[in-house]
Amino acid sequence: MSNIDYLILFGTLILIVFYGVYKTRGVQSMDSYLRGGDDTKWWAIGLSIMATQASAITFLSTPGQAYTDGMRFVQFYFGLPLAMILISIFFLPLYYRLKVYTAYEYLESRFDLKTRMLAALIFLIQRGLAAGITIYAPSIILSTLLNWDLRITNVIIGLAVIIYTVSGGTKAVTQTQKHQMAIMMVGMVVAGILVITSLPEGIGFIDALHVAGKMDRLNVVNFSFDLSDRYNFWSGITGAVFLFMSYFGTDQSQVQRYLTGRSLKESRMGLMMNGLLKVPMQFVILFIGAMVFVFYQFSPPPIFFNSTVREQIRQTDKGRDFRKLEEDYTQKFETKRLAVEGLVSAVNSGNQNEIDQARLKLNGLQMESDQIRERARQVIREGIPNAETNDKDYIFMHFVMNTLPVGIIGLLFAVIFSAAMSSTSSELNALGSTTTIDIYKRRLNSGKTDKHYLGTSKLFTLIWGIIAIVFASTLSLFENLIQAVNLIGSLFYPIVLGIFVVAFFFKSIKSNAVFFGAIIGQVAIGIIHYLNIQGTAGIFTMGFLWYNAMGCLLVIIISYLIQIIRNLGVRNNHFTKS
Amino acid sequence: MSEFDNNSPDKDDLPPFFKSWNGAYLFLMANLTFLIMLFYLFTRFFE
Repeated sequence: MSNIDYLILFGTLILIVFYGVYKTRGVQSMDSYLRGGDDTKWWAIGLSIMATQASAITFLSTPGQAYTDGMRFVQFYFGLPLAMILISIFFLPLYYRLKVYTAYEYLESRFDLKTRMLAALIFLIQRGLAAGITIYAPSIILSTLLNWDLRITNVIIGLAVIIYTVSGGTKAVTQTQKHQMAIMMVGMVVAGILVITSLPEGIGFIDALHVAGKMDRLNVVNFSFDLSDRYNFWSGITGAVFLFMSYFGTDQSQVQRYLTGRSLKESRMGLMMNGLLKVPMQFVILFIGAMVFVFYQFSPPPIFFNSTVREQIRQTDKGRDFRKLEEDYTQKFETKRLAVEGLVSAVNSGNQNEIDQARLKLNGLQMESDQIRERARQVIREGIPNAETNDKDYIFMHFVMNTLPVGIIGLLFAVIFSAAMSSTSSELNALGSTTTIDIYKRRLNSGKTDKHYLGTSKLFTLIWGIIAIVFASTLSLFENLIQAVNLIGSLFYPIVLGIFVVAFFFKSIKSNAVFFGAIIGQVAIGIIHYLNIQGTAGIFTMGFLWYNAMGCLLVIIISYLIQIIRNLGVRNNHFTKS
Repeated sequence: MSEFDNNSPDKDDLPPFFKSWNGAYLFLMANLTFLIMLFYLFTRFFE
């Protein structure tokens, strides 16, 4: 990376931190610190919600997802607008009426303290682990790309976020997220334009679309129903609705964003904005990935996109095998490029028979090329047993660093760092708030002054920030923790949503029933997951997305049954006594 | 939906361009339906 790129990257990061601290220097009360002074406009809420959800992995991983698997991932977001509507109708008015700081406060007024504590603790465990991952996941990729020490990258992201989040709380998070989101949008639009203009002469935009489409990279919508298929139309509009309702309706890192609104209307409009823009935004990011795929049909891609691992394997005793595979891959690329040009000619000729034949030939060559890549991954696994052999997250930034002009590279690194900072700041802000309001103020030390709780909120935010950095720095010792923490989210989210759904819609169900219903539901989801893992051995296979619907329904049904049994018990006691 | 709207503390706080929140929600769903149809046609045209 050139000095100009570094200047743009660090200039952006420093400006964001200073802006966040400067704009919120007058924050002196708990209300201002935790609810942002209740004066945020709808468009700022919308941007803040989107920036919280858009982590660095969104920009690193999503284009790579389209490169390897096509654009079908966009279907995952089809449930989001529906979830926004349901939250606007059912969740928001209650939060506003009770003037809560955290989502879990509502559960005490509806049920009791233990149900509130259960939901708050689930959030703290899950989000506390996720905050470490939000820093670690981009750090490991950025440190490889920039040749920085992993711990230094963790500290740069973590410290920058801690400075303005501890200083200005929710207001600082919202203020900085406006600018971070602007950087992300500008960066992705520029990247989208440049990837299309980087295509070779003679290959137009429509030609690129035909190449991507005929090589299954524009597979945006699939109406086939398949439980084991993670991304299709049906899982998107059913399972994903539950996931997004849990995330946006009950996860404090999101709830805190829209509770900063000056009115219910502003908060609802913010959610509507997210519902309107999120699907097109994901489409654009995936589309960039599909165009990068077309670019690498005309320009030779590396056999493995992580250059550090590539260099390492060349130094091992498997280096010879790897180099041989690299040669085979390059040869296959040349043959494939001729086939791609043949397909473009066939499309331009308009002869369907010719198109079908060219397509068949090209996809056969692509399969052979993928097989060579898979063999290279196998060689890496044998030569470096601890190496991460999934290079999907490196594809987009490899393209950026090797193709795009000076200045734009710095801008796109600023996009990635901004995304990492925006999601981490919301997480730390929410963790600090929940610890202060639901645990410290409610259980440990009530009746103190506003100033005291403001100080403890800042302290807890700082502590969570330090925990996140330390956790991120030790994660390299436990590679599979990333998968474990993602899984924890899928396992716990539906249970919390189930508690909220019972609270809203099943007035006859009381606190003990929902509390034990949630615990039994949690155990049941654990068992289902165990059987699902065994599914590879033949029991059954199910996409994780379905857990969200299943867990929520289980909590509702079990709570309802417990309440019926309790009611019968009370009635029997009544008859016995009378 | 309307029952919940009437219960809301800001029932006069209507969204811009729409007579009710239900109108805004319908617009959002119509937009999603339009996008899904567009994506489907996009998928089929270039495959």
